[in-house]
Amino acid sequence: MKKMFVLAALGALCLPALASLKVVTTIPDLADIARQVGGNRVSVTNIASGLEDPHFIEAKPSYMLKMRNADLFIEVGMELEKAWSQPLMQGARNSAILPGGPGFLDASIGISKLEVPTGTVDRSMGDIHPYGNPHYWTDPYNGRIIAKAIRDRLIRLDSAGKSTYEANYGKFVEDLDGAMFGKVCAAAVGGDKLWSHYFAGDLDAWLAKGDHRYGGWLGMVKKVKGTKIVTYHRSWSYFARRFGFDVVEELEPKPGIQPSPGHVLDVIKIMKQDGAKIILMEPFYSRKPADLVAGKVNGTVVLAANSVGGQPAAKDYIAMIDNVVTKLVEAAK
Amino acid sequence: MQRYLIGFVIVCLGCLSATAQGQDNQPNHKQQDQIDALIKRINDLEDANKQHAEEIATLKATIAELSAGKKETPEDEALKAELEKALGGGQGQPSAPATGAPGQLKLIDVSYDILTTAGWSTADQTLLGQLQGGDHDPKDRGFNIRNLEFSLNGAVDPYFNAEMHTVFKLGPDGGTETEVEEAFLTTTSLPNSMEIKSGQYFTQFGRLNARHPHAWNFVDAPVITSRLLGGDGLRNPGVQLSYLTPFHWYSEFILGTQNAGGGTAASFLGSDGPAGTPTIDRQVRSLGDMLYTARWFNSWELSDEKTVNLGFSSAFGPNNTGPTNRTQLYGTDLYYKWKPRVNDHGFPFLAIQAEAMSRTFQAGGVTTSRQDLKDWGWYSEFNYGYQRNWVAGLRFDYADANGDNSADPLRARRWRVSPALTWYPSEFSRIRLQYNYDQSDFLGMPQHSIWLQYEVGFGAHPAHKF
Repeated sequence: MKKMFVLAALGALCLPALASLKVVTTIPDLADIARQVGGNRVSVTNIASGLEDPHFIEAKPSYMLKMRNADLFIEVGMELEKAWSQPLMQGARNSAILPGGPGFLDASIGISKLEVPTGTVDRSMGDIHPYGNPHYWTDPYNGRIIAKAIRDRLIRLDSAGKSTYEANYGKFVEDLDGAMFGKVCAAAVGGDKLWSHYFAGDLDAWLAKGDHRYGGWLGMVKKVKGTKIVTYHRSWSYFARRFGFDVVEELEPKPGIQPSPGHVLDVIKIMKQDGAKIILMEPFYSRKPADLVAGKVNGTVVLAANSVGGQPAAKDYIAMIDNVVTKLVEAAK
Repeated sequence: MQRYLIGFVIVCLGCLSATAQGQDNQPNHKQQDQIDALIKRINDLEDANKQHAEEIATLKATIAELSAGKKETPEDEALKAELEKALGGGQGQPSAPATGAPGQLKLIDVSYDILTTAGWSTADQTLLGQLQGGDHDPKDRGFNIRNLEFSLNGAVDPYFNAEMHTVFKLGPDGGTETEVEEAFLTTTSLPNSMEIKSGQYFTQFGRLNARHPHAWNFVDAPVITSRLLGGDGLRNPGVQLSYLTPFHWYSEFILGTQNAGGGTAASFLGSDGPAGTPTIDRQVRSLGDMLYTARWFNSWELSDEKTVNLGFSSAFGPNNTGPTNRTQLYGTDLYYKWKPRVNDHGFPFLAIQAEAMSRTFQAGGVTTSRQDLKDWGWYSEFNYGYQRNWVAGLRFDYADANGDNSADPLRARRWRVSPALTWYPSEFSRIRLQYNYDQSDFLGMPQHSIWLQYEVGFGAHPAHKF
């Protein structure tokens, strides 16, 4: 017993050297953005791996341990992590990261939310998120908003690092805009301008005047714009809106509810009727219903991770989106 | 704002083109330049507008953060210490919520859980009551509603959380019984990884005792827990301090003291007198007449997919078979879970759970001779979530005691095997089929029982303890 305590004390001494700011994130996408923006001024620990469904993480004691000394806890919010982030926060014994204080960041704060239910909702509708669809990080524009929120919060907690955080944020956004619009185009006109014309709907015309042309993801999806797809869970709404895919149905009859034979039959009918050939799903869901439907409609199942680390190609945030875009465009050709 | 701006510009353009058409069908170079300049202006305005919107959002966030309280620099800390000294160490400012959706005040999470079991047994009513030792277990042939749990929990203020669990159950006579099962507060902002819990709560003894029946994997309580911790579990009003150590694995010490009386302290002042020992009316005279509990709980990640928890528990207190008689309880609990990282809604998984415990009960000495009654036993559970929403479980129970115990239903050697199959239509409902094979020295013949249980939980999403 005594020996054990000595060992324990030694273990405590051997804790990793302290970085200036300790950040804990719930999903690896937030972790990657926090790492890129924070650079070497922060040490980032993440909880759910990209291989896992973020709805179904267990509040393991070891996660509480990760959070006990954290300076900043970042979550997706909108109740995505509701079942586990609350017990974790309570178990971490760290009042610095409780909601309301500067050590807690709900990354959804600046996001314009989709599918916010109106009127009364209840569980007969499945796993409804009352604050809207929480899978917003699959949209690169939201990646920018997340990065900005993280940048501002890091500056707030560590004002000495302001210039570093601003520079890192600038670099991250430059890379992201380069991936979205093509490096050459983004470098020539600047990401902010591109996004503003993109939102105004006159990007092609405006670029043509300066004899520029966009490439990147936007260039890739141009040819397949409006392609009808079916997804497993309603987790691709933000992605589909940004890249011009049309989600006609989900394999789940209601969010979080297992595909039933009756509903799968409906999906087959809808796909045949709409000419949809692609089923997009995360690798952690059961493939069986998707394969069955694909077989009936002569379609393709596209397995794509919507989180960093969910597939080998999704090694960071930008690569994660790139992986989905590439696979979908390939399947839609 | 943006919309009005665009509208305004469109109207301007309309006027401009109308004028242009009035003068000349072909706009001249000057007009073309003007239009280009206007388009450029619109774009610039839009950009500026967007930038402003972003700036406003940032400012709003900053304001919210500022009002939410600052992180202190060393100078601030010094100032704060000075202020605390001057003002008598008052509390910090309660922080205003900085984030979240607008206009949603969450005061209380409310949930209700209905646990209903129907079944049949070869054991008759009396015998079944002895076999099913847990107070929320099915005890009758036919239908049993033994656990209707009404739960409330919420943040009180920045310093406390509170929880309340009230259980209603239908007795065999059809009457409704009510229990304030738990009602306690927990601190949230103590320094040094401390946490205090106070009120009526389940003692942290082993794994199952502090969990409500809807979090169990079988329809009934294990034999040994119902014998040593009581049919209702060990719970009483008290206070508990827990400390999360700075070790590099999760290691927590929990020390507590509770009242030792009542039916929810079945091995202590609330005992029925094991082995037929008569009980006395024992008063609480000194601090030694309280119940003291200690638990050391540990958790390790063997890998990303394998977790093991190991706990050691003890409880010491007086018992009601003599003026100075005491009881000691010791237990150890193990939990192992494997769940692959790539899982479909938490499936597949394998969970192994086992607890062993023993009791030394100083009995008698008043009208009967004094003796040390020793009871011990264990249970182990294997639960395999073999596909989404389906779990196959198997539990072994064993319990025994010293002395001449073969005719005593609560002390006789007993073993039980219980296979179970559970289907979860969703996270909030489950249907469970369980068979019990019971054998004991006090039973002439092995007994067979079969139970079909359904559970629905509606209301707030339950927070599952790992």
